[in-house]
Order: sequence, then structure tokens, then C-alpha cells
Amino acid sequence: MPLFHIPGSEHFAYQAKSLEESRRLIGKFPIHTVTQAEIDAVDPLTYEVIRHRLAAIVGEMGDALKRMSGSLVVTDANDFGATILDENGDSVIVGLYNTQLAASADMAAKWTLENRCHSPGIRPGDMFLTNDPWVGGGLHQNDVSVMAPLFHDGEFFGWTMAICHQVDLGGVSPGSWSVEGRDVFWESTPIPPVRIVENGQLRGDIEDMYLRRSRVPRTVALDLRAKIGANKVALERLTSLIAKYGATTVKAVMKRVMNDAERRLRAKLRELPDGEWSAVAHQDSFRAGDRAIYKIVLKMRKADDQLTFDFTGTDREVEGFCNCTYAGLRGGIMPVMMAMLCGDIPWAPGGMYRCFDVISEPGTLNNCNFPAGVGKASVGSAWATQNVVSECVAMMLDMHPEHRKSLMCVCCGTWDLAVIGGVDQRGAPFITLISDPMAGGFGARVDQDGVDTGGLHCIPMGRIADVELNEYSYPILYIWRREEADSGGPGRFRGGTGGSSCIIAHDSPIDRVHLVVSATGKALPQAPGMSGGFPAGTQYNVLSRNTTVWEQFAAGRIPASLDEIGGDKDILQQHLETSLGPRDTYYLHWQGGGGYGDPLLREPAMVAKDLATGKISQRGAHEIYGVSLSADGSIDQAKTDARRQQLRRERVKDAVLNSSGGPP
Amino acid sequence: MNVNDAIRVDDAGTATCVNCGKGLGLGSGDPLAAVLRSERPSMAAGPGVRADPRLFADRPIVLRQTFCPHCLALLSTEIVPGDEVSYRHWHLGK
Repeated sequence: MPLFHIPGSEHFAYQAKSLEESRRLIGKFPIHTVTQAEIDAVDPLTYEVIRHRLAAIVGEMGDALKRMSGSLVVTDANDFGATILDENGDSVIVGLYNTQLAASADMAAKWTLENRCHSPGIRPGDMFLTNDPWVGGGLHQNDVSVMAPLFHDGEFFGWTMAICHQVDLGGVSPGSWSVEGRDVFWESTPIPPVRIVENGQLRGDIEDMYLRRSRVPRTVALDLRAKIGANKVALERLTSLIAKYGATTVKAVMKRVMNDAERRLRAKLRELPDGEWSAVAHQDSFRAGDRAIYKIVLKMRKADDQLTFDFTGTDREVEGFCNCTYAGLRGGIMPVMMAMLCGDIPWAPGGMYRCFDVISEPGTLNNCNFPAGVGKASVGSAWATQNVVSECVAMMLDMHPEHRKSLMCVCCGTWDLAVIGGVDQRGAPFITLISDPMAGGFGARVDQDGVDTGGLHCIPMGRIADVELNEYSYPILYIWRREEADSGGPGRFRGGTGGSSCIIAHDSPIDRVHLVVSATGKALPQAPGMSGGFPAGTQYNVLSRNTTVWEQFAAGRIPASLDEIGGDKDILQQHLETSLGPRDTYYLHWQGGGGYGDPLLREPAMVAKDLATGKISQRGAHEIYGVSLSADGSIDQAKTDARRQQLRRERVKDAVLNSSGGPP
Repeated sequence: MNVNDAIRVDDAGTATCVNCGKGLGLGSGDPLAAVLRSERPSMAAGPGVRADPRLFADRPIVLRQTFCPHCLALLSTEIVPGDEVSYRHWHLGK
């Protein structure tokens, strides 16, 4: 069924409002706020003490989530967010977890305040749950937010918010990644903010409504309690902080944290040249069977101390599940702002958002309307937005002699999704996503290689579960997990390598494991390089049926390559749903980071070291880096010089003048 | 001002190659009008491109690169649909 406008759906599409308009909507709902004089009156020592305490509270929220959750995605991959917001719903501080999630927390807080303060009301002891990507608080339905209002002396003081990726909330395919989905009705139904906790009590009717949709309700129920617990920890700590320093002082610090972030970011922007930088991010395929390629286009302008992200020219929303809402668009911007522009500035999105404007047409890939499919938004169009923003910000930084040291080429171009599900070795149903692609390759820097399997741009504290923990938790065995040669973008400074895992089903009482695969970047890489540097490698997934793995294990051998595994190979398309039988293996190979500079300018000694340590192959050394090594591994400088000259000539053999406009 | 490791631009907007110092424009308009542009199948980008893109998409995918016309230094690299213009540009303000 084609995408069409659903009357009334615009109610849930968050629209930024002026403070005056927002206050008009909430009417006489009592708000705690402070004056500029009260903000200015806070002494520096008190400011720093409270600011660091706020950061510590967010950290404690993260600890609480990890202790209470039963999902490896939370406990071992850190795919969650924790945020403290003020009475206007502006994010004061975010934890070093999934900063894509934190980027849209303010949207959900503002929407809830404006739409729920009168009915059903917002009162002490309440908490609200939402997973509606149009409202905010997350990028796709798996991102479920629980937000808790904090009151002081009868006035609404602010919010705390905990967000986690839930492993399954229903929809056609396990994990809620409906690979054949054409619109949101194939996916988990979005829940606008509802009061899940009332006067300190979990509401059973709302919880039932929420959990009924999941294939693994007990896991999701535990995560729900983890989020409620994390909010309770934060509320207790904030209440203690207010008791010690007074509500006015704590609120004044919250405001100043955001003001400082804005002031310092504007100061940095003024040091950078004015101009315009443009780039593109591609995604191949938006659903199973789709062979099209889509683009998100960005023109980023900088004038004085203000940035404008103009996405005009981006493709229209598509029938599929990779679109993202405006929350995803913001989620693509904020992690880059934090990591590349604000490494030395407090991560206070409420202040940073003031430093940029967004131009985006509703109904496009990264600002889609309801009911476009968004089940894969977080690692679909939101991630692609992050890639294109990353490239433009990096190009801008590259023009400053000092700030260029903060740039990083695009990291791992997307998430190589593998959801496995079925019955575990203890006879219980399970669903999880394999979190190994959290170890993506970082992009290269202007003076050093990207970090190999270093992580993801958007989750500073992202982790991967131990192989043994995955094997203990789920009915699988790893044949290997490792870095992959040549996956980092070649360059004078090489992009960090991505990695791969190869698994086989093991010990499930039903003798098989269900598998959902969703990974773009197979037709073309998604982590581009800079200054001539090459993009990272492409994504690659191979299903091998009827392998000889068990026979090799019995003989005391561990296969180390797809060839050694044997069986019938199937190079998988971007999206599909299948299952692994007892002799089948699944190989997932995620992307590295983009490279910086001409690979022919890379120091031959670094190439030799890469070869010796498995970061690149012999073929890569010869074809791309043009380095020749002697039999003992030492560099043959004369042959290297000749080879590099040969490659320079070959590269331009069929080149044309750029201004000719025609094909080479 | 250096645009990056490969290209330098002066106050008049004239771009030069960092490697050889020679101009990359034709005197007016596009500062990179004189650079050489090459397009090859994306698998020419080396072993990092794991599989033939035709397995996954119908549009042609190319390795598009630009080079200094004087010293043949590599200036830019992208892997994109071959039927699509390049969207990667920069333009400095006055």
C-alpha cells in the first residue's frame, strides 16, 4: 500500500516551539525556573561541584540500568541513554552512552509536557513511557524512553530520562526489524507518551499493553524496571542535591551548563572559516528485494558562530523500514557535534542546539512522515545522516591548522544487523541482536590511523559482549571473531579496521536458530575517506549451508576462513529472514573507518607493519599502497618507488579534465 | 589556507596542489576545473570492496577520483553511483 497522509498523525510529529508558545500550552502548570541574575550569582566553585555532580548522576543512571537489565544489549553493549533535562525539556547533560538517543530526549520531554500536563496530568511519583519516533526520545520503536518528572515545593523542576534499546517489541520479524516492511504498520506500533508509573506505582494495565506486543516480554519487563530504577536513582540524587544547595542554585547551574556549552561552541565556530561544505550519504536497499540506492544530501553552511544543516535534495521517503523521523535527523547531527566539535566542551545538548539550524523537507528519507517505515531508522537514515554530517564537519575542521586535529573521517558506515532468536540451551525463548558490530572501525585522523575495531561515533562507551558470554547466553558457538584485513579505508593514514564474526547454531532444543539480516553498504561503502583517502570496505555477509565445522571440531581443528568452513556459500542480500540449521554458519563482516590522504603517500614502513599484523593483505599492499617487500619482509625501496610511479600513471590512464563534465 | 592535505587555496580563491604547488583551476569559476577525473569500476578500490556491486544493486557503482594535472597527486576519492553527479564540494565564504 503506498504511503499516504494519515489525518491526525501530525499531532505526534514534534515541532519546535518558542518558550512562550510552550508556556501558553501548559497554562498554569507550576514551573520552577530561575532568573538570569540567579544564574549569574552562582560562584565558580559551586558551579563546578554541582556540574560534576550532575554528570555523576547520569553515570549512576547508567550503572543502575546495567545492573538491573537482563539484556546483553544494555549490560554489555551500553546501547542506552541517560539524560537530565530542565523544566523546559532542554537536555542539560547526557551520559557517554548512545548519544543518538540523547539527541532526541528533549523532543519527548517537551511533547509530554505540552500534551500531558493537563490530561492525565503530570504529578510527583509519575513516569511516562514512549517509543514513538515522531514524538522523540528514541530513533525507532525499539528505543523505549521512560521519563520521570522531578518536583520541588509543588513546582515542576525538570526531567530525568532513561532510554534503552529493547530486543523485541513485536512487528513482523523477530527483533522488530521487519525486513520486508513497507510502512510502520509492519513494525512495532509506536506508543506516544503514556503514564506507566502513577504515584510511585507501576500501572499494570499500561505495562500489559506494552509487553503484550513483545516476543520476549520478560526481558522487556526487566528493562522497564531498570529504567524506572535508573530514574529513581537520579530523582533521589537530584533531590539530595537540591536539599544541600537549594533548588535555585541547582537550577541556575543547569542553565549555566547549557549557556557555557553554547558560548564555548560559538567561540570555536568563530575560529573556523566561513563557508559551505557539501556531501552525500548513500544507502543501498530499504527493504528485502529492493535494489535501489538512495541518497541523503547535505549542504552545511557556517557563518560566524552559527551552523546551518541544509538537507535539501535528499530523496523522498521510501516504502521500506530505513527512513527516519526528525528525531533521527537530530540523532545524526548531535553525536558528531559532541565528538568532533565539543570534545573539550560540556555535552549539554540544550546549549549546543542553539548553535545550529536545520533545513529539511518533511516527507524525505531523514524527516519522514507517518506512516513511513522507521523500524531500522537508528542504523538506517539516522546513521546515514550521521555519516554525511561527519564528513561535512570534518571538511570544515580540516581548514583550521589546530582544530583539524579533532577531525575524524567517517566511522563504520552502518550497523551490520544480525538478530538471532529461537529457543536457548535452557529451553527458554530468546531474541537478541549480535552486538559485535559495536566494534566498528574509527575513521582516520589527519595525523594518525583510525582506531581498529575502536567503536562507533555515536556511543563513546559502546562495548561488545565477550564471546563466552554470548555463547553462554544463546545457543551459538563462535568459530571466530576478529579484525578483518583491508576493511579500513586506505590512505596516508588508514581507517580503522572493522571486524567479523562467524557463528554456528549449537545446543538449541529445536536444532536451529532464526536469523534476521539487515545490512546496507554492500553495493557501495558507507564510510568515505577524505583528502583522497579511500572509503572503508563494503559490508559482507555469507551464509554457509551444510558445512564441515563439526567434523573439523571433532578432529581438533578450528576453521579459520570461509573456504575452510566448507559447505555451500550464499552471499547474502542486504535484508532477509532465514534460519541457521545445525550445520550452517553465518559470517557477518562489518565496516571499518574511512582513510585520510593518498595511500601512495603512506610510509612504506607503516604498510609493512600493517601487513605483518594482518591489518591489510598482500594484495592491498601491492595494488593500493604500492609497497614491495623482500622475502624477509623488509621494504624494497627501489621496487616500491617504481610500483608507486606505475600506479600513479595507471590511475589517470583514462582520466578526463574535470571541467569537461562528460564521462571519462 | 590548506583545504586539506592535498589542496591549498589563497585569498583570491585560487586552488593549488599541496604536493607540487601548481594551480588546479582554469583562471575563473570552478577552482578545480583543471583537475583530472577518473572513473573506474568500484572494485578497482582494492580488496576492501568485498563483492561485485551488481550482486546488490542495478545502478553502476564507480570509483571516482580526481588528480592534480601536473604531478598526478590524488586529490579526492569516492565510491558512488556512476550516473550521479558528485555532491562533495566546498566553498569558502568571503
